[in-house]
Amino acid sequence: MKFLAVALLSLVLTGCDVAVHLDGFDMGRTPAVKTEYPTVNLPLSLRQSNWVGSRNEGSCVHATMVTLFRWQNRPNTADSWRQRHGNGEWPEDLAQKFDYEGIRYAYVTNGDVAFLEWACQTRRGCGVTVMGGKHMVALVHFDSEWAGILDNNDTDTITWVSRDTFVAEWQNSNGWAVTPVYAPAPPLP
Amino acid sequence: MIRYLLAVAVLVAASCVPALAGEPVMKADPAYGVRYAQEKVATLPNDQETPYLTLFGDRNDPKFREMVTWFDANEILNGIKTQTHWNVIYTDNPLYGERYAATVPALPCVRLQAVTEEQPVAEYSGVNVPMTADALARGLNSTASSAKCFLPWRRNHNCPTPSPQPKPIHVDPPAPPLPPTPPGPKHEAFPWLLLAMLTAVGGSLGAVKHVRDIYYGHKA
Repeated sequence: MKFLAVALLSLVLTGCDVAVHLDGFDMGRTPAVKTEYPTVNLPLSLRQSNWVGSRNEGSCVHATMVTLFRWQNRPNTADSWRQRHGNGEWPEDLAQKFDYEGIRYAYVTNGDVAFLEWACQTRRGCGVTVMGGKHMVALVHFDSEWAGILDNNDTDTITWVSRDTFVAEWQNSNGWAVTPVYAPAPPLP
Repeated sequence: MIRYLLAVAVLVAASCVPALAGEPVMKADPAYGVRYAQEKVATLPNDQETPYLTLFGDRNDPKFREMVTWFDANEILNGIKTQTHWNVIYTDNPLYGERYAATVPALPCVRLQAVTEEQPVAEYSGVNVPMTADALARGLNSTASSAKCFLPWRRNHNCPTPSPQPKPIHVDPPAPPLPPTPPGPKHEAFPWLLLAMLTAVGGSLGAVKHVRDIYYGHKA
């Protein structure tokens, strides 16, 4: 009886080959994180434009810091900084001001690219020197191919340049990069 | 010769003085007056994977103000706060209006996000916000525990530890050995041989009958 049952089952199931093909769908490559472009995606109205200080100098460094304060959810610090500081700036003096006001910050002046990677991977962004060191802009994106730049003289647009081009420009501009170190704005769900 | 040696000595001494005085080596940019000093060494926080804990609310809302204090007073909430990117975003902050308002279902709102997840790990807003700090802590903690594979503070905190093992309280005595099973009736195999013989006999009888009918006729 058992033999007959097995034989019957074999006969019934012959030709029932189950094959499912999911063409064009690769779950292993589905990204888990919604990536924002640029990483530091500050709304237009919060991007601080450059202003002329009391000594008739541009305030690009301070404008960049104000922008980054706003991104790192320090609106009061940003407003206060905008009111009390201006004119041209250099690394030591800025560091002194940060120290005096108890602001957490980090900076390099040696053109170390790892700092830029850290700043953008942690979603903080940073100020970087360009134009031979006479101007500072905000680096709002930095990945394996592209660098996104927010210029305080043109806050409406993000300028995208290749990573290599940007790194060369920065390193030929004294390689100064600086950022406040607070909790970055949370990502959008 | 003496003058030459003296000049060399003066030059060497002059170059050593700033270093001995501990002054940084400066690169001057005369055109813009920008100076660049030596490197400042700092430990950068490697917090790329740190989750985000955010409170959205109106600073005039007493319920929201109370919630903000929970994260200092309650031990569990404070523990979560210190291990996340903690942000309190008030509704009068332009960052809220221009970036987050469209994503917040109701105020006040507590949102816990992990960088590896597209959607928030936990979110309580409006009337769904727990009434007490303990309830919120329990809610966030239980949600986080289900997501502990990517929330670092859950990896080493508040997880049940396997040792020491609790001693068993009620131990049943070992079961007595089962009595030997009585020999049952022998399982008889199917009589295939008998079946074959019967089939052969029946078949041959039928064949004989068939031959007789054909060659000798069938008398009706």
